[in-house]
Amino acid sequence: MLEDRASAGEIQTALDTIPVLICTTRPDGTAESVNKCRREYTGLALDEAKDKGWVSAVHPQDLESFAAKWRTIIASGKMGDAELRLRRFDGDYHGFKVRAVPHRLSTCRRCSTRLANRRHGFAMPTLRQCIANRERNIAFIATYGSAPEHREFILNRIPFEAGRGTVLGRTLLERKPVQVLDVVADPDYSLQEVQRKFGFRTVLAVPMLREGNPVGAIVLMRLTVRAFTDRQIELAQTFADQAGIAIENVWLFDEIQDKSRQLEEASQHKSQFLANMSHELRTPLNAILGYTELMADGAYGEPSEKMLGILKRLEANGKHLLGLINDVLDLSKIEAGQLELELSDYCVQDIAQTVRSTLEPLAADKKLAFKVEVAPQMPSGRGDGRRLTQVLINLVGNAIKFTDAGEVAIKAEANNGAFCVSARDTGPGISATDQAKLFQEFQQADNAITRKKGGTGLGLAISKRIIEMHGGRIWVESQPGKGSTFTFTLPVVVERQVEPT
Amino acid sequence: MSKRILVVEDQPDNRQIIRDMLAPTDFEITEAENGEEALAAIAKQRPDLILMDIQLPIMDGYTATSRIKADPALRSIPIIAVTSYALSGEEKKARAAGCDDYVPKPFSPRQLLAKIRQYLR
Repeated sequence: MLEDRASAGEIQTALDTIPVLICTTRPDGTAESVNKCRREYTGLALDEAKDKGWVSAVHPQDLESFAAKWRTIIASGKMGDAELRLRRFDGDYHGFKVRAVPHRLSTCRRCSTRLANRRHGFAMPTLRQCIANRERNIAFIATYGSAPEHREFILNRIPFEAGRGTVLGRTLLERKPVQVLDVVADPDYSLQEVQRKFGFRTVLAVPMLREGNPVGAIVLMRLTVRAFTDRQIELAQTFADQAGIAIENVWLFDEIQDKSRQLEEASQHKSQFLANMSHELRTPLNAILGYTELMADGAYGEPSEKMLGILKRLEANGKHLLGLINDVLDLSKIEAGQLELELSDYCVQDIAQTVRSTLEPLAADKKLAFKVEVAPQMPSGRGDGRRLTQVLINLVGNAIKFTDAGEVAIKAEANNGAFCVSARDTGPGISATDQAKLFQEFQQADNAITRKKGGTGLGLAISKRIIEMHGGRIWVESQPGKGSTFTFTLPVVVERQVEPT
Repeated sequence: MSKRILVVEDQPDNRQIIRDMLAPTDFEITEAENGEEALAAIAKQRPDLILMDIQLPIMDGYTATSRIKADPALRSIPIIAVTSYALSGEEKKARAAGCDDYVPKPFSPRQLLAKIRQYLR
């Protein structure tokens, strides 16, 4: 780990004077310098011992455990001890206690960072590749002793398919780790051309499995003939398993994203369809309601009393149909998140008056009293006045629809910066079980009522959403036989639409 | 001199209703079935008010309105959008295109006439 070239010579001299075997190495384990004592013991000249040469003096059986220890030391940056046998110049092995000291904190930190980066550099492209090549199987190749760009090159020349001709093919076939000690000596091996170009000999392949099926593999290649140990194979398999899980997660994540995109698109299509449908449905309705009104107004000659009655019925039914179409459209907008409040100043008194003038004739038809009690000195509100009118029309309209005798009443007051508006009736009342269902889409307290009283069952669901978008609350208080009171509260001033939760 | 109203509307029934609605009045009426025809009609004879449907073939009501409002000589003609296109924010879009007023369909002939009278007093 000598980085400072200027002082390298001095340090070498110093090391040479020490009667202990010393060698300094780079983070990857290749030797930079070997001191005199060590050179004399091993009989290896500086040139022979440099780089990977020093390894040849280590007893082959000690190499793996020492390499593992070495990696720990480099990764932790902390000094560590090991025992190994070193070959003397005469060929005899002698045991040594070896101490490895990471040299310079900064260098150590750099070592570990560099290692981490290398790990990163290996893992990240694989993940990216997985995403890019979702449909394709993937193999990762690590070669010992050849440049990283060779990996890509080799990878492109090994077909990802099960077969005896390659080690990768065999691991795909057998779905377990496969090691070939020397591919040159293997009679089934078929990639001689690639082998000759890069010179790898011992090859280990471990499969990445997804639900038992190979989706990828890790291939380790050595330029020398030397078996991978059980521990190494186990390690490679562990990594392959982890990678397999990571890849599967990426795929699943992608699938989920695709699905939700599709769902969103379908939902957009649906609401666009409903908006178009609603347009198509309103167009003929315009003709029906328009001609009806013109006839009633005598544009085509004075109608008789009887005709006028019929025209009124025609108009009422046309308007009812329009209400249903609007409900369906509103709900589709709410579902698609397209319903937006148009915020402006409104007056509760005006809203109550609009509701009264719209619905009082209906109450009068059923001989119901229609009361409006708006507190004096009500502040002016800010919100979507048109939508709030829609809510109150819905509540009072329901009250009239379900009440056969007595009265309906609108009551409005302001307390602590909030409006409180209610619609009360003397109708049949609603049981507790039915109350719970009232504000859900497509629910009426009793399906038989739909047939008798009409309606889509959407009105209260829509009202609830509109009130909630104002940051308010809507509820019902009722007992069977004692009438019902629907109440909503909302802030007097609403500056921003509240997103639904 | 009686005021002239240009009705831009592709549905024959709706044109008929507007025609019948205006029959007892002394407004004169010109009809166009799409935005392009509307521009041609305006070039021929300047109307005092335009009833503009939005969803039209060939050239829609927004485009026609923007063209009319971009012309200094025509800018002062009031345009009332009459549309059943019911996506949210439609009124805002109509006004952004330059429409002076907005009447949703189905419209009440009585109310539409009252709106016209507001502009052509």
